[in-house]
Amino acid sequence: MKKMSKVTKIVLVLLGIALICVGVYVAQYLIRYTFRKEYKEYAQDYSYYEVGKEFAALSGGSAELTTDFSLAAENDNFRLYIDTKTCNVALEQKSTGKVFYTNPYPLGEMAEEGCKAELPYEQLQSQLFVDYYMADKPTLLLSFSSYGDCVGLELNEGEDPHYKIESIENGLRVIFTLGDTGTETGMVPKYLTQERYDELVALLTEAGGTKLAKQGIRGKYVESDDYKGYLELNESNINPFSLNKIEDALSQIGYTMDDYYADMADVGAEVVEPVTIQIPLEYRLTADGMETNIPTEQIKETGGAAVYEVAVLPFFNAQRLDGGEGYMFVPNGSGALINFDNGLMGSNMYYSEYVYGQDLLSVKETIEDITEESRLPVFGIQKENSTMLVTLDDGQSLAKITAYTSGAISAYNYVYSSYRLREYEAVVVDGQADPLSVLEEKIYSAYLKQSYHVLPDTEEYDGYAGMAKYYREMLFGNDESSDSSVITNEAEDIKFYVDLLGAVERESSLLGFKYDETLAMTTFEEAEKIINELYGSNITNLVVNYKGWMNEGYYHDTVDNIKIVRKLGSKSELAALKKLIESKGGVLYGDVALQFVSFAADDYNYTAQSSRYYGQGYAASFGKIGPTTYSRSASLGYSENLYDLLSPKFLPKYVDYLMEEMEDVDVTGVSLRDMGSVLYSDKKRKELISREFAQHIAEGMFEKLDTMDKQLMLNNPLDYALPYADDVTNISFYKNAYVFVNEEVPFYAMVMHGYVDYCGKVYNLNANISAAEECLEMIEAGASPHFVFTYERSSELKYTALNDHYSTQFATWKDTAIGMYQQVNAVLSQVANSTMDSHEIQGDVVTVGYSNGVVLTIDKANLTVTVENGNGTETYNFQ
Amino acid sequence: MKKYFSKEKWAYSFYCLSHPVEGFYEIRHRDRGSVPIAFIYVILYSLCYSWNRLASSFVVNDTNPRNVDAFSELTGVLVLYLLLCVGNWSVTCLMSGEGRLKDISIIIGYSMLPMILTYIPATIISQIVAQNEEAFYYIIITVGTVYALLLMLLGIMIIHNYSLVKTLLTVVLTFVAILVIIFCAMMIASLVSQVYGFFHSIYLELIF
Repeated sequence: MKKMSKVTKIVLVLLGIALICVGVYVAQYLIRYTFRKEYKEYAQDYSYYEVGKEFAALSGGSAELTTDFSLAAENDNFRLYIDTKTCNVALEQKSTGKVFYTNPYPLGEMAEEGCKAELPYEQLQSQLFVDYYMADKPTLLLSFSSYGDCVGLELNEGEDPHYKIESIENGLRVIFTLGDTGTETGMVPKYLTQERYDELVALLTEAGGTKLAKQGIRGKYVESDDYKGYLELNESNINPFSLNKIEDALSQIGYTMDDYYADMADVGAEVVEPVTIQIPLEYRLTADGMETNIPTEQIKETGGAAVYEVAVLPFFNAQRLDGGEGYMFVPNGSGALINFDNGLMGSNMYYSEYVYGQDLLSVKETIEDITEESRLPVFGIQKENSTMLVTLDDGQSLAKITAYTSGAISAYNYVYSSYRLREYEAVVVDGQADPLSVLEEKIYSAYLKQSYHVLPDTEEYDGYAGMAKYYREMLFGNDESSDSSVITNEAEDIKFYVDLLGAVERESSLLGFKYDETLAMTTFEEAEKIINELYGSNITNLVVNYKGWMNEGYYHDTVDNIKIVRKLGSKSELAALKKLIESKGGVLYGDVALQFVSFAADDYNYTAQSSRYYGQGYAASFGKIGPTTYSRSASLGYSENLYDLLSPKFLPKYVDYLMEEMEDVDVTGVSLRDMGSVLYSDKKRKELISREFAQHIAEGMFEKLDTMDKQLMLNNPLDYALPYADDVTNISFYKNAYVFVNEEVPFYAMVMHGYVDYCGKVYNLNANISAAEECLEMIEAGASPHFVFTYERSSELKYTALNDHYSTQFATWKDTAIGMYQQVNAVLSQVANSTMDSHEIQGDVVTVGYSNGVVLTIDKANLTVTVENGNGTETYNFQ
Repeated sequence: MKKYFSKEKWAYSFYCLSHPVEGFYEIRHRDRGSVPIAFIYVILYSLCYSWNRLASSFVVNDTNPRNVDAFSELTGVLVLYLLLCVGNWSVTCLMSGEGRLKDISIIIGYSMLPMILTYIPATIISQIVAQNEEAFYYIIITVGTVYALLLMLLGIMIIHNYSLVKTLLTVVLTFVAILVIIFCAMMIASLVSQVYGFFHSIYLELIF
């Protein structure tokens, strides 16, 4: 063998080393990212589907209903009926005799019901609206309604209805087959073999002589062009009428659709599958009403139909025009009411909002309106004699709540939820003018369960206050950690929420060479000074949220290695700060971002760990909203403002890191900047995590975080995270100012008050409202004051990404903050441990009642609050 | 190292300032210049330029000091220096110039010296001039710059043994050559990015 030259040897060795390096890199990549499957533990099994029995009406039931309806199920409190001809379902409360119908009953003529066209009239009689795309060319959104495309279809003689009613435990199930189930030529085979033709003609002649054979198929077939050697129906002299006659004749000899398919198969002809969607809708009685389910795994699509959105029971408990006073409650911002017949909606206008806001993976790049996302998956209908609360219990993250008032398309006021079962994306392809439409292949798995709670007929469960009470009991009632003893009704000083801004990175330069320096805005020592001053002013119930305390400041690196920013002070100084805060009953939180990973985080592999779009597989990233461009991903000159969306797949990994790392950090609790308030999917095509799945993962994470011996502060959380929160910040006092919405109510606050302490957005960065007005808003919502402070001058922040914190210096705000706290505390301390039980708006005057009997009358015009308690009344002036 | 950075070589660069014709001739024919020193002068020039932008008084300077990024300016100056050398070399090669790439880099580097020597005092003086006295500052800057350009022109003429007219012609052609180089570089970059984009989209389709 020839000896290798030195150069060859060196090259070979280098190549070997390079190969090993690549191998090690690939291996660690696969282990760290690709093969990480712990998120799958949180997947829910949606395969359960109760076996249904043939529907048989039960005996009994109230007489006035059983003329049109058949009794389907009954429990202690309710009876469930169905009209087997229209599929209209009625829910009867046994104790009061109140009946709620899924569709207007009795139904008048079209004009009488305020419908100007056939379509809304069909919708009025439907239990489901199904929007779908054709999967091969998803450009046009098509729609089915359960009446117009299934129940209300005219049937041929002998044809079974396209829906099927089944009995299930405690309820019933209707399986709708939406769409035209027939084939192109009905039952008449388009192609036949010669032998089969002769056979059929012979059969026809045998059954009814030449006449029947002629009425049937005799002489109606010619030599086929498409399939040589076979016969084809001569369509030139065939019309729908003659097709019907042929079908009649064929059915007399027992010819069925099965024979049709067999004959077509004999020729080898392609049968064009009809476009249909089969979808089950289950009703079950519960102790306080009923629930509906749509097990999405049972939805069957044929002919290339792809379900996009399903609206469930749109007209359930709908209110007819002039049917009395009342309103619909929608979770718009803090909560809002839409009065019946409010006349605000013109033709075809409606209120509509996504539950938990829109999925960030489906929003447009430019923002069209800046709205407060709805946090709770609930809506309600308040009529003169009934209060109904509807909660979305499964699949709510896919839902949208829609409300119409009378005059929009019909004479009815109604509110309902609809669910998006796959996402649609318009992908812009280079070099093509029109975007390419991409539709997700698989339908999301969920039960789409929603519960209709008929609230008790008592004063305390009346109106939206009653709905809030009922919802509160559902949310916190079963939670062991917050047993009912929390509501002591005793007076106590309210909390004072202080965000302290620690460190942030600032770009500096030395002789023109740039580098990032850590700017310490509030060191631990300075924080102690602030706390001492506040304690000196008799504020003891202090909640401090330290922001920018770890890993290079506010825009921090990922949590897999938490290090206190050295410029702020040492570990022992942080411990001393905690001790000082806790000495008078305060708490210290450390603020952490988990899901929105700033571009400033150097140790984050965004290509491997970010959520991706379905169409082109781009990693998702957003930023601030550009004030001139309305872009959602504006950096405003600082790349720290941009952030990647951590895929829900990696949430368990980072939560584990967080819990492990926080163990040695001396703080009372962890404040989560984003987790619990944002919910988005990962549409990576090979490993799609729907928003529903992402929610289950997040719920699992909160269960885990609950086992940590640290408190939890959440930033404007969604309903599923709420029970785990010890403190809640940044809730909204306002609704979104949609024109269709009448009143704004603090529903979210009413749900929390007494169980969880909360505050609104920070006051010292809000340029639009005076201190007195803010105090009244806080008192109405029962919220504590909230400020963000720095010890250094805020002008230091000018050339940092936090330059929107333009007014934060403690020395400037000290007096205002303490003054506002004392004013609000004077009122709210009397109700600190009570629940908010009533809320009434009369123009500028709002009356709020609490469970301990204290009633607050807030006059927003004169800026006064009158407190009425056992000892008489007292008026506080805020002017 | 000694070969490049001897005391004599440093001193020689100053000699060229006062005796450009003879100085540049000896660089070509007696190897008295040093490429590393020329390179250091280019870097020094870039730093002086950035510092001037950063620190000269607001009377003569309307640059926002936050926008001064010495590192990117250094990169720009070095790239331009490289382009000038290579551009001039590629033209003079075809036009029977006698200078080597080495000589071209040295004379261009050495020519920066007057600018280095004037920018620093000019920046200091700018701190004490009043609004109507900017002329002092601008005179210093202009003298330095014009002298540097003259040195460059003379240097090219001498190392290639050209007449003045031919030198001016090669200078024009040098700029044309630079444009051609930039054009080619951009074309290659766009080609590479397209090829990369193609494989990247295949990768994306496979992985996601």
